[in-house]
Amino acid sequence: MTSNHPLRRADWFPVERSEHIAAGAVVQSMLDGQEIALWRADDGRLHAWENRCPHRSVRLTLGFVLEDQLVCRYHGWRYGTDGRCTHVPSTPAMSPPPAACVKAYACRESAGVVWVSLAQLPAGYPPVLGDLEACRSFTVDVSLDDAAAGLHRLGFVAEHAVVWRERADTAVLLLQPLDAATTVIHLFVERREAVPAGADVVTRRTAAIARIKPVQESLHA
Amino acid sequence: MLKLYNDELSGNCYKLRLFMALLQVPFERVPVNFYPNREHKDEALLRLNPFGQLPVIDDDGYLLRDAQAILVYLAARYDVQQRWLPPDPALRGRVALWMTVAEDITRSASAARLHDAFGYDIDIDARRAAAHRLFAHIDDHLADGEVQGRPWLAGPDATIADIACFPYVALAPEGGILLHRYAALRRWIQRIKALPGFVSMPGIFALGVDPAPS
Amino acid sequence: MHDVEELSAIDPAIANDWFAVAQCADVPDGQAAQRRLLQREVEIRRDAVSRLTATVAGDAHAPCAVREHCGHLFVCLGPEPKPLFELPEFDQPGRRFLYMGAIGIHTGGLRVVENFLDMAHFPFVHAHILGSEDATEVRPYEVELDARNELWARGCKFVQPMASAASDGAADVDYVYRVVNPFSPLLYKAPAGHVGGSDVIFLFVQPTEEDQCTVHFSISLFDGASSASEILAFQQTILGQDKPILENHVYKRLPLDARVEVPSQADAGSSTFRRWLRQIGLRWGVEPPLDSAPEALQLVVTDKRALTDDIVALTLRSPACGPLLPTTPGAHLDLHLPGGLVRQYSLCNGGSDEDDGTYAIAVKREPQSRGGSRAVHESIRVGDLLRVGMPKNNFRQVRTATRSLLIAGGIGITPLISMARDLQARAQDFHLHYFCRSDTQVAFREELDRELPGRWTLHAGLMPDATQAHVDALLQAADSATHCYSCGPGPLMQLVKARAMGQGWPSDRLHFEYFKSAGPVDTRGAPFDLKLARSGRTVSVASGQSIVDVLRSIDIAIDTNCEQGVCGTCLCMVVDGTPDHRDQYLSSGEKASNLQMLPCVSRSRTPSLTIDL
Repeated sequence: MTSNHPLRRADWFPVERSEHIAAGAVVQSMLDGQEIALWRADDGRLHAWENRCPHRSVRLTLGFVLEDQLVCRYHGWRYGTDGRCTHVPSTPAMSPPPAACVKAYACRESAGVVWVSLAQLPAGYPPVLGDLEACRSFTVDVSLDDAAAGLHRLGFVAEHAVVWRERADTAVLLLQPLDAATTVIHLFVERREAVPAGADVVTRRTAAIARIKPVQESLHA
Repeated sequence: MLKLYNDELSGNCYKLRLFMALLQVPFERVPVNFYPNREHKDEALLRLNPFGQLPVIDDDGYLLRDAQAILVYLAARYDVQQRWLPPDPALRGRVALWMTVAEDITRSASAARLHDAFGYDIDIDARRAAAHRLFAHIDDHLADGEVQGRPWLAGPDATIADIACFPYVALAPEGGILLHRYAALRRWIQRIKALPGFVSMPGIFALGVDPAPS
Repeated sequence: MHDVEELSAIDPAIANDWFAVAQCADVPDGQAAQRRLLQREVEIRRDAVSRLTATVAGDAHAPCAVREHCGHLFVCLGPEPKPLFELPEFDQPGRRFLYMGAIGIHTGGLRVVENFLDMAHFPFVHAHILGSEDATEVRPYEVELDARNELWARGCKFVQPMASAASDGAADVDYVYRVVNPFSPLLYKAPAGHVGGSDVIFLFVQPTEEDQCTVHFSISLFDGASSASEILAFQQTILGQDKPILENHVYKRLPLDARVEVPSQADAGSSTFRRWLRQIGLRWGVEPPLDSAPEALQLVVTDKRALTDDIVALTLRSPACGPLLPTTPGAHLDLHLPGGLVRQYSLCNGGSDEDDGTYAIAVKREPQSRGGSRAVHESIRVGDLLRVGMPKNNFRQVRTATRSLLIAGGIGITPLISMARDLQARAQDFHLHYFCRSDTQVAFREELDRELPGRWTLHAGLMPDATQAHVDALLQAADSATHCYSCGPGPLMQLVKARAMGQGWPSDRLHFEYFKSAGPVDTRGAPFDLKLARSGRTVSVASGQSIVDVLRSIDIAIDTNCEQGVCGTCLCMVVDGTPDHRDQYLSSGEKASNLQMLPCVSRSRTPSLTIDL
């Protein structure tokens, strides 16, 4: 990494596209080796939790959403939006154990991107990006730092530690470190003019994908 | 009533249990124990299927073996709207193509599961590697498909190709093949679970609470 | 792949236990079979006249003990094999024995044993078969370690839609669980009140690695009607449904610390199992101690202003200028104050986007304060860092309540303004009644007028009779769908509760902020004096209070976890007096000796009880 492009270790990382998590859905994600359960309550609010039920450590992504609660598949324990257990079906008349609380992570959505920070007190807020259109995502078997170095080598411009732009075109690449050796590149295109409908959208996205797919291969080289 | 010679833990038998649930075709299960009793190799089953494999159906005297072949039959026979095996030649060609991929999935991911869960003597590393190569390819195909408005394997709508490929992909973790990297593949799994009439099998959960068996 | 020379000795806690590694038929005369056990390769041979021998690969092919028992081949790798378990039922005439397979599972073997002991998952994992969602309660049962050091759970009952392959309808089923050694459980199952033999189901675990195992699944039963295929189809479905759960524990080895995995009272079986493993000192297959320190936040005070003469509002933010985790209306924080005091304060936030990144609390200066509120009023400054616990909520709104009656007294406005803001944002019907001692001591007056016009009413300076009359009228006017939430000085909440119950309000529509999770763990019992040996203090424990409640009210910090008498975290020593044991953690011997007790649920038989605190 050259000193011209220092990368700050960002607190916030993109982990998913908003459109992939419908109201009432639970989706599995991962950040820096930490598994995350992303779930959307019926009021539309998104939550990012440690993917582990505090009862017997079963993955919460096996569970399901009941209105504004996440229910664990194993024993049906229910958790409210603050992560606290609200109901234990095997002891329905008793208050749940006060210590039963899921670890929640900071989570924000903007421009169709879901950002998560694993820090207990995240630094600031995720970067504000312009009007973006989602294309698709690519998985590369390199670390975040190596992916960034590779993008720099290929001429992309770092707007932020994990936000890279095509120098002469509209592609925006958001980087998600899945773990120490795997990075997901979320490809978006920036909408600069009025949104054309129908086939033009697909064409523009497909064109961006065609430009970026070779990047995936050369990062592996 | 259609009889399905069935093992509850068999992904191949589940392809048919699932499809018949989606089509709302009533059927009767005849239990045949695959492991450990190898009842599919018993004389009674061999008379129905000399290849000694499950599943086999007996639809009022019509016998057929092989999960993929049975899916084709069930679609042709019972899917009056022709959604699951569309007549359009281009689509039909792609359905046939992805049905063969189902065989590749069986040879890799299902074999890995037979090794890990039932102790089959198999080169596990080779099978897992083959499964990962296959899943990366399918994941890529589905990711491109999402952009182009065709979120199912063969096109814009679910077909028997999706049913054929689904179980052993969803069961892959039982063979030590985890799906963390394959986000598009996992979305496709959720899409299948969201089909009206979806039923689960041991190892594959429904989206919410299990509906009561009919 | 597995370097045997580098393996350490077998964990002494299990070295002399017997492990099932095969069914008898797996090794016919003149044949041999290899099995992996505790990270070692074992070979079992049967000679031409059926004699069995076993050796462990690598240890210069050291011999190890092997036995046939209950249809299985058991092996012991240690130098002094313990006696094999007895099961006289196995040879009962009329029984069928079916071996249902050696199934490989991607999880530690101890997880399999715990799942086998657990009934609470029946309605969820085995829905419509072993349980259903309309009957999820697990009734209390007895668990103990017997004289032969086997774990038994008796008196276990469950209503099952389809208890077995032979079922033709729902049945009340009795279970007895028996764990003969940490990896070898079996259960006896019969319809309730059944006379004669039970079915016996075995799930012997052959632990291959710490995070992988093979389970030997078999059944000994009386059912002569069902075919083997039908029985296997049923039982394998059950195991097949458990398998994905077992393979999805984030920790495949078993954590023994109740802080990492919090039990409920229905987990008496697994809690006793874990306690047993701690007692025998098992390390293999057990998760090493995990960092599970209780979380706390350091937040910065960004605003401090007086709302009235004796109420001050504080705004807390993240020092990293980022967001704080969302809370729910009615939530409170533990504020850690100078001098080691911890006080609960309700959050006033409404949970709207404007509040993002702040926690707002309000603190009333109590004249008889032991220092808490005085510290907030006098010592805390803008810019100070305060330690707060993660938000909790013992005063939750009922989400489906379409009408809410909010009754606040004095500083009790804090959680209720949060609720009111939330109800307003969700366009639900509500009215807030704020009782204050005087017109000039109204906290948040400006905010209430601005944000909730027409939705709140001030009742200032009322005498007790008038207050009671107003409360009566409010409660009377409410319809049968209204939920009432009340927070304020004790006398006001008691008044609201008494008048409401007198009018026939059901308790599930009445909500009070007591800052503690209300049971019903049964806290009724004769009042007694609690003496604290180390501090020399004496307090009284009334009926309806737990010892933990009382200790908290006098600022004695006591570690708790499940607060249901099953995890053992709050265990303390008894110095004098006789405890009234209501827990499921201590063995019957320990209870009889009366040297220890669990203060979260247990009380006292004697008028005075002294504990070592």
